Amino acid sequence: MERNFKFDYNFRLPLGNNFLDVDIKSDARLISLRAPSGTGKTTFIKTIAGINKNFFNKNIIFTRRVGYVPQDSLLIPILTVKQNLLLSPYSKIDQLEEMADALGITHLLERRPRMLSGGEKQRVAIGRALLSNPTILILDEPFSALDDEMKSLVIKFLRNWIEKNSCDLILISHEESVSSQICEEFWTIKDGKLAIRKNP
Amino acid sequence: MNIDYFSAVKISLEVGLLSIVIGFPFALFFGWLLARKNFKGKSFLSLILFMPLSLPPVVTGLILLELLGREALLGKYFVRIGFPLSFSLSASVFAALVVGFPLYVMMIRSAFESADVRYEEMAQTLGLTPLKIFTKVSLPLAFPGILAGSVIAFARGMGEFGATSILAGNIEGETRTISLAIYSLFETPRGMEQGQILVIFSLILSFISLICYEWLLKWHKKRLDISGT
Repeated sequence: MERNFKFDYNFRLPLGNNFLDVDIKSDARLISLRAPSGTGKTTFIKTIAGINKNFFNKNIIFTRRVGYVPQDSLLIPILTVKQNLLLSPYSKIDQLEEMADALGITHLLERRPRMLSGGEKQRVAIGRALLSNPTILILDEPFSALDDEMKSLVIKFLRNWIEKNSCDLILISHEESVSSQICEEFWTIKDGKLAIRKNP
Repeated sequence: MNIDYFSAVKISLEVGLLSIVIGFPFALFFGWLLARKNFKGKSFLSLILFMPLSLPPVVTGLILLELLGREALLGKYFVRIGFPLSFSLSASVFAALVVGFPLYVMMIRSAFESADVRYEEMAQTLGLTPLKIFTKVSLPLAFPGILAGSVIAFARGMGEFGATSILAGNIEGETRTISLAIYSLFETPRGMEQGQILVIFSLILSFISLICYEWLLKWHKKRLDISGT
């Protein structure tokens, strides 16, 4: 009988003139993905988030509900923070207050994204992804604009939330210290292949 | 020559307004389609949609007359259902719509293109359906740009001359727009002196349209948080 893994990806991803070969079977829940720029990290992430227009595979996408926090937050500029947080049809308004409080964004709820700092935008984007009740959370450099104090608060909150909601995680972060605080397995991209890193 | 200035202004405004209202759903659809979708035959569709822009309006008018004239195959049908598409106000509106449509589609396409597609992708990851993505994200993001496009299409439609004169004729009180009234006056002795008020009125309308267009574009850029504005 075939085993069910937490992460089970086997596909070849077109990257311009090259390819990224993905062949991963893993039972780890909290994954760190670190690789040099231009190796296909974001393309891989967009693929499993279901938004890679050049490569669409419903077997990868529809098996899990993805919460995606992109590097530049991508808050919808014409909506308020509150409207952004509740944009997903899966988000529940009764979770809003607790989430906003935990991320320190309660005072920002009625503001538009252009009135927020980079760090505030990142916290709202994290809140929006979590409120959509994902089963897999994909964070692409989510703490890059946070100061150290806020970063440890958000990381602590995220770890608790992930645990409480049995959510899996793929974290892209250039900060080794951040990845090692949260993740249990480390993936990398080398020579056009996505693989588990033996010595993190 | 006696020209009813008020009627010419009223007909011009009606033609401009009706052409953008009737054309709106089509321009919205094709503008969005060209901005957001890649499909086989996209270049051919663009070619067909934008053709009236490169054709002399008089030629467009002649083609329309061949298709929609009262004795033409399609035209007969419209006459039979009581909606003649030649030598009537409907004809003026239709001619203005056809000639202004490429510009309308281009403006709406550009409004959608100026809104970062990644916002729509983001909404998709949050579980919004394509219809919800369109109504909650794409359309509101592009809205001021779409309005700006409508204003330009309105101004274009209002000033339409070549195709309108061929398809709708120059019937006082029915199809005689400002442009056709000025042309009629131009052909009569001392007509231009009488037509000055219409020229001034055209300038005012054009000025107002362009101010609205500029203001809407600024609003569009501000809402999208496009730097440099």
